[in-house]
Amino acid sequence: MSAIEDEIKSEIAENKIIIYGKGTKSAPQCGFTVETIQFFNKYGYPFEVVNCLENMQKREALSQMTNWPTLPKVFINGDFYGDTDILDEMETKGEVEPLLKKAFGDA
Amino acid sequence: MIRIPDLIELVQAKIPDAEVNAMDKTGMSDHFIIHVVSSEFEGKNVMERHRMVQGCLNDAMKDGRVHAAEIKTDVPA
Repeated sequence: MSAIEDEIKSEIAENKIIIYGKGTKSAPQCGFTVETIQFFNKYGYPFEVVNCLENMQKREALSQMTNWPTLPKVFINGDFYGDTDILDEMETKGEVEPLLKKAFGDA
Repeated sequence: MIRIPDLIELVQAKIPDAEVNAMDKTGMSDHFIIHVVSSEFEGKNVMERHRMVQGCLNDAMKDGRVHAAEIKTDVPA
């Protein structure tokens, strides 16, 4: 297990919602990252954005760990949920709200 | 760059009964919105469905024919 994977694992453990994307929460650099931030802003739960734009090593490690080629990559409560393509579909099926409630312990 | 009929074929090669419609999002023929309807999605959660479709596009993503794909999945009504 490389150091970068350890770093990712601890980030995921420390943040109930974490978005690996391009740019930062205050200065996102990619439309999909913006979309993902807006998605979680609706729910009002705290979330973290990790900027992978200049960090190829982290991007590679993440792609290996998730077998998912693109950014952004979202983890909720330690589990991988892809990006807003997946989250939007889950939302229409009413699967996101209970997931977040469970993650933040107010189910 | 990939033509939409070829893109649809890529999906149907692995999901034979898939009803696929794809839209070129930027006009550059490498960023698509792909809507896939298949009975093979029955009982699969959203992540599993998307991984199935991504699996069809892996090679095309690797060699650059497809730069980005926004995937929507559904089961037959």
